[in-house]
Amino acid sequence: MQNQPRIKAGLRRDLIGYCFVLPALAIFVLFKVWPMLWGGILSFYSWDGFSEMSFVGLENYRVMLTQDEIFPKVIKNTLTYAVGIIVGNISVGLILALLVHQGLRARGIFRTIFFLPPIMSFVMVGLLWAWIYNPEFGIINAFFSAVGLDSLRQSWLANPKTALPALILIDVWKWSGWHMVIYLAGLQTISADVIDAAKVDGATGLKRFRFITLPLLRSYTFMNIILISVGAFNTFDLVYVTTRGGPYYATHMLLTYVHLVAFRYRKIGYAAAMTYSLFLIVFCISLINMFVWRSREGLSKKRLSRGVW
Amino acid sequence: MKRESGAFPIAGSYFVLLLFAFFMGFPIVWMVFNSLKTHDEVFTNIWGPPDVPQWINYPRAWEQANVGILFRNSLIVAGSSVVLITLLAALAAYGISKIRFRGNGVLFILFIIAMLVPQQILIVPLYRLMKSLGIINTHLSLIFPYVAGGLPLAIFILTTYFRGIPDDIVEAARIDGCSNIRILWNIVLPVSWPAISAVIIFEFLETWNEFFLALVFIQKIDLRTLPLGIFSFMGRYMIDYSLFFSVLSLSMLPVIIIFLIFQRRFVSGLTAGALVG
Repeated sequence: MQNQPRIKAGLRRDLIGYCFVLPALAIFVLFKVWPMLWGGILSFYSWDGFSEMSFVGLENYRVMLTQDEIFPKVIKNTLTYAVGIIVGNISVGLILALLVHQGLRARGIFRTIFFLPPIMSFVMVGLLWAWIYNPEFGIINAFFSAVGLDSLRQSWLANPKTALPALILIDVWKWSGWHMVIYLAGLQTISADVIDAAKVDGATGLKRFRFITLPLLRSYTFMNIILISVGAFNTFDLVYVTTRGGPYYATHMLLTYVHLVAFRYRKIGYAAAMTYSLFLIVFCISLINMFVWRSREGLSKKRLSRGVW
Repeated sequence: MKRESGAFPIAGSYFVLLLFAFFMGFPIVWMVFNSLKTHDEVFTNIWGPPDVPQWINYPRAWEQANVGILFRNSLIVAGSSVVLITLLAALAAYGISKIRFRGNGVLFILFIIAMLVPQQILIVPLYRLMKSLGIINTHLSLIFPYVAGGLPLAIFILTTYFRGIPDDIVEAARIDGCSNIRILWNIVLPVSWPAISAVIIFEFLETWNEFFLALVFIQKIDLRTLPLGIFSFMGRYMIDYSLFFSVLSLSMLPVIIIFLIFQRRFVSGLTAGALVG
């Protein structure tokens, strides 16, 4: 009997709590959870967007894995792109972070310049770089002419051999500044004592980097790699505004191909099967990330207020 | 001033930094240079600044690409999304961290897991959903998915931050008869500014720059957002090259200027977004 008021108070507390969460939860369930489930269901249907849907079972997945000749190419492109931008962004981001962290004069200006591309829209960046690669007046060709390498002049985005590397370079230009900042956050966690101790023991700069800094940054490297790979599987804007997947599918990525199949060819069920496979890939990558990262308290109050700037 | 990790010689460091600064900065400078040239000068004077700056390019670009309408549309979409995300996330985060109803932990984990699924991947089912709701070709078809996509991260950042605020303060206010809404508004939010500004900046950049959903859901010309409008403008008119650069510069400058003013907040906002996945 004495417990009654307490149970009531608990119930009331629960109800108030639910009221606070409900608005967010409603939008979230309708526009995120529901599409996640729907995507799976759609992938078992054949649908053109207008007429009736018809159930086809695993047919879409069978076509994807055995009949579609473009799909393996798209996967290969996406993986090549992923490897390219991981290597590029990690190395440039790390080099920049190490240099900026040294405490040189004017490092603030450098940081600002490096962080400009990450805030820009990928559409604008792609349009700008399409001009930079322009065969007639772009600065890449002008540069090769200036140093006497006229033979290297070419239409970078129209050549199947150079188009994908050209896109990788744009991605590194756009994102390495962001990965630099993440590495800077990591460098701040390394205490000066460790480095000083190594200095006393006579470790050279390169050795200190190889045996102390790099291992201590491991979790940041890991997170950078995860962020870049999720980005690679989501690449759409850049490809769509520069090459549209061409020439000859040389730069088609998963999402650009999904867009083509769903909204040009109108095979929406088939596109759903592809996105659902993509969804599972990205989900697994991110899940690994979460478990590794959660164990080290990714976001603390201190970091937010202090920032890394 | 030389710091502990000064592993490289100073001169070499400056040289490499300058090289990268040129690589990162020159494309932007080049864009602005070209935006002030005449059509012919884009071809004849490839590297340098314009001989006579053609300031007239900017009003022309503004008019021809309808930049005003594009800005308005993007402001409507990004603005309402960010306001909704921040508001709903603050309510939810307060509920999870300070009211601690039964099942708050489960809900929190659900949000975190969803954070890992980008909205772009859901394009096909979302398209179907927008069609059946009849809101395709309206700004609502962008705002709803943007809010749903932004909420998990916002809730995560705010919940983590709110948990760091001592419960004693909240309890004391409750005993004094403060309602939960007032506690949130008058006590919790004012001290959470770092987290809130991080959420606002991160979500604003995400929604302001979003292209894929806008491309699929918006066909009406006068509803286009900035990236979509600029992209279609570039694809359609192939006459005046310097005009392209003026349009590009015009559309990028506002974000760049805001960034230069609020640099610190931008960086902590974007890193906060990254450090949680």
